[in-house]
Amino acid sequence: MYNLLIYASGICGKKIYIYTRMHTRATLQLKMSNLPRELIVDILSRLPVKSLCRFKCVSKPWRTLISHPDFVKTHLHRAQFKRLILASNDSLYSIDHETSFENDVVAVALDYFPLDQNHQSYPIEMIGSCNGLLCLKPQPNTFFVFNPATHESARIPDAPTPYGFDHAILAHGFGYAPSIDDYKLVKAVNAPLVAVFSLKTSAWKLVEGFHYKKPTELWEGPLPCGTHLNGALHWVFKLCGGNECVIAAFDLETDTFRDMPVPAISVSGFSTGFLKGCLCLMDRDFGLRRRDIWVMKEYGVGKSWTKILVVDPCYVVKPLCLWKNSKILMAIDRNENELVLCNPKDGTCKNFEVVGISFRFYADTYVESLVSPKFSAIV
Amino acid sequence: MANGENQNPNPNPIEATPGAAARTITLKTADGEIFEVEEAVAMEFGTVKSFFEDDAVSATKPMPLPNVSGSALSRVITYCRRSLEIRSMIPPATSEDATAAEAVQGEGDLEAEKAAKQERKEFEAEFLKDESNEDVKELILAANYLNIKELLDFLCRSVALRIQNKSVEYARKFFGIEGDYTPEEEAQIRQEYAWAFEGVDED
Repeated sequence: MYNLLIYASGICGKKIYIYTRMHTRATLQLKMSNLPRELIVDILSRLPVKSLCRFKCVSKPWRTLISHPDFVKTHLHRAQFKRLILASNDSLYSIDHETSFENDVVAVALDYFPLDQNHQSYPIEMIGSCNGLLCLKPQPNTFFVFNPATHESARIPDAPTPYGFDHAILAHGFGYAPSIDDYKLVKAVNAPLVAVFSLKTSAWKLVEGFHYKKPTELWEGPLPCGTHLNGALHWVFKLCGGNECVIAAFDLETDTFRDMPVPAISVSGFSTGFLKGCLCLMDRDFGLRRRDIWVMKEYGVGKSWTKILVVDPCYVVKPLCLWKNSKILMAIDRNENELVLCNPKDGTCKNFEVVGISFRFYADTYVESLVSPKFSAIV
Repeated sequence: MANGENQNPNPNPIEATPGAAARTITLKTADGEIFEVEEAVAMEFGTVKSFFEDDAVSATKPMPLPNVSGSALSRVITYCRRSLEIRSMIPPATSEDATAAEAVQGEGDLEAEKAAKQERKEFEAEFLKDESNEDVKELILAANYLNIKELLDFLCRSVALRIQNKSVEYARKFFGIEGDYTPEEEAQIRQEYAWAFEGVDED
């Protein structure tokens, strides 16, 4: 059939379509073909979480696909939609990552976290953010794991005494161990054991190895939350029986501590953060006119500490993330309701008041994901 | 714009003369259209590239593309040609070491990259503007069959943007899926995700 077509058009020297039945059927079939599964998965993996939750209603196979751990991982891997989340006294707020920071920054309250409004006179603390899961402390001694994109939340059972009591806690952190695909909440007290909760086993256990003390007794501000990176949580402490600051890195796979050097001497320790895939520190010493931010370019290698920015303001900031790939967005560690945007090229900073929040807030970033906070979930 | 439309029955065989201008490859679609395409463009198609890398194959006969229609191939060729043009706006990195290349990259190169990015953005926005969902699906199938990674990525990205704020019914229609929930089951799951239905585009 096809040979006939070409021969005919050759003889006439111009384009002739002889519309045989076979021809039209073939083209019609091409047009009506549905997309193969792997292309559907590709397209779906690019959708925001809200769309995906809605599309669970398309059909039962789609619901199974969208809820499947492999798809959740594929979708997470794209990490397309990053958001800023703020926690204040009365609520959680989100700020769109598309915010230009030209004018006011507007925070939108999230109204779907199961907060007990009667008790909301305490600030909501944010312990950590991984893969779209946030660990929150909305009230004293109460911890939740929450996915702001899917609206799911789960309360973490109380830790064994004395780790269940806020006043005893020295530091805490929430992180993800990729090698065992587990999320963990870690709490340290003034004792050699830390309490670790695993989402997978939904149980607490006590592990040894905490040989540290607070860098300074004059600790101002919230409890240090470990910075999560490379499957480990990082805090800055002083070694017991010593006077030098050190980074305590808690490996979430092996549940062991490892020490890493800090870049310089500091009396009050450092604030930890995460920037461009690297651990980052900022000096907490008060009264300094300039504050350096250090980035550990090679993980674990003391020599790779690099100063990246000299900041003007004399308050302590926590680096949040890179904004539009060039500036550094930071939160202020004090009684302010502002965000700071820094230009690393010249070290200048600009403050932005966040409209819509009246109290101080904690800030963190999260990526939209389908990861479920419900533990003991059937994987 | 000439797309290498209908040729006489004996298209010039690919010249083996070195230094010959713009070698072409001949492709034949499912509906019998013949396309003569510049080699550089045709080699963007993974399927064509492997076909001609096979030594046993003669370069003189047209390569059959039984899964692609003429209209789809025409659009695909347009995309790949433009894409190659835009890519040639960026000077290639000469150094093996990526970090060294970054350090050496001058202001001029960065400007060129920015300009190329902008061109690509504008071109891609225009490319699918008037295409129906059916046409876009046909293009996806063609890009998939021809193994053109960049085009496929762009098309999937565009479809995701098209459907992300649409209703469940729209998604079913687009992908040709029949809903298989019972009315009670559907009501229940819609209730569970009620928040996800807010602000959805009208069908």
